[in-house]
Amino acid sequence: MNNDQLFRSRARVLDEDLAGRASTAGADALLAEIVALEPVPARRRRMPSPRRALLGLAAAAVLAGALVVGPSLLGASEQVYASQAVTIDRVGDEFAFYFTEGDPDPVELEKAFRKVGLDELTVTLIPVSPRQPSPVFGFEKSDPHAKATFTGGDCSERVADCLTAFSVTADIKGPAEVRLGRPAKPGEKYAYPADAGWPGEALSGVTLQGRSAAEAARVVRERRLKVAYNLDWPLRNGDEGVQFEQDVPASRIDPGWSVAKAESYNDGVIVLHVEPGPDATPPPGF
Amino acid sequence: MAEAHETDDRSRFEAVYRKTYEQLLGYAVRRCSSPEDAADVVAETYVVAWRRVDELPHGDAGRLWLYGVARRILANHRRGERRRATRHAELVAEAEHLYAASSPRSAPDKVGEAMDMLTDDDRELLALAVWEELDPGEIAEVLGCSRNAARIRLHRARKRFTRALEETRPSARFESRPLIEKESQ
Repeated sequence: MNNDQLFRSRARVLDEDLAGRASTAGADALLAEIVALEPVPARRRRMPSPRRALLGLAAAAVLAGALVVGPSLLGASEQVYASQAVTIDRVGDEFAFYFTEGDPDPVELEKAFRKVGLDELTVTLIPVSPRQPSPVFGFEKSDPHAKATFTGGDCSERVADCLTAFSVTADIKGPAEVRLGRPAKPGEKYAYPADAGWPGEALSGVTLQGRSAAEAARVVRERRLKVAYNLDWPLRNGDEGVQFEQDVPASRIDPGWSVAKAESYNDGVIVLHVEPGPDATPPPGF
Repeated sequence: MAEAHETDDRSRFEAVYRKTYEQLLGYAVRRCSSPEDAADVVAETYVVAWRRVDELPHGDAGRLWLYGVARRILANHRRGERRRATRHAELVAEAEHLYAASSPRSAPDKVGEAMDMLTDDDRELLALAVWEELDPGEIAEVLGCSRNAARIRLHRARKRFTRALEETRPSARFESRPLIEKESQ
């Protein structure tokens, strides 16, 4: 038996064993259920509303450094490219991208970008936790005038089984890079942090949020993991959100300050995000 | 006019459904650990196909397109994102029969161990080639890559499977030596 035959022998069932299955009661029932659903051909699909586009930011993980600005969805919409991995619409002065592959081939995506004239737009897949519940998307550009809009959220309203989406001004100049998360291989370091308490992560089932920095550090070290600190400074203008100060030395962390979250890059280090106390003075720029 | 168009869509979808159902069911049953998951993958794949019926390619390309959709749905399942698009109790019951009828693997299962040593990508490439009997051009359609990329990746996956088999069956490798010695005498 050659290796292909060995592999074949592991199939639970072969197609030839399923002859006649297309007309069983189960197959008939499923067909009847499906055709009773309203079909949504492309000509009737809706564009995401600006409101949905804004909500998309909260619904999905966006890489730090990604520029996310208000949506620009005015103008006519026309599909200009579609493949298994990506659908591209021209919407006014922008291209809208709808990604449908969880682990896409960057070469294929770049080929799609070239087809619509985006010759310097590249794709990099970054390893993220296989437990990551929402798609990870990032965008870096060199053109200061280009505008990128993250429209993830409900993008399946436009393209069925869309995972994430974004728009970019069609006349973008210079190199730009799209970064998409792909599930990390066992042991591979993540390029985007995971919640350390998720099942399967380094502190699976442990909640550090709300504990003091000292207690959280003790819990982490008990598990033979290292501790690193970020300080999460509130935004100066009072808007909701925080600005991270990374790699803060332990000497600047008050043991009584509270932990906001614990993150893992799957490298034996737990990053504790600590909320500075009310009397703490932010460093310049924060 | 719109009604006529929808009737066309429906009859075309039904034709594709009847023609591809057995293969899609096989695809799902071979990859899912439970009949419920397999039924979900089949149902969700056809729901997507129905909702995108105007994109569903004609002919055998339709089957490859459906494998591509099923593949993404499986990936979503593995990420824990499950959507039950329809109720399909009868389909689950039929899938249960298939699972019950499949022969249990004898232990120790060296071939299974070798398969487990492969990455998901390698295993899927071999599965498409061996279980779905697709050629590199067809695999490329399913995976959304070039034919050449599919051919090279499949070649590498076969090599890695051979190596994994050798690692899990060291006795088989050593047993071949006396034969070589005899032949050389």
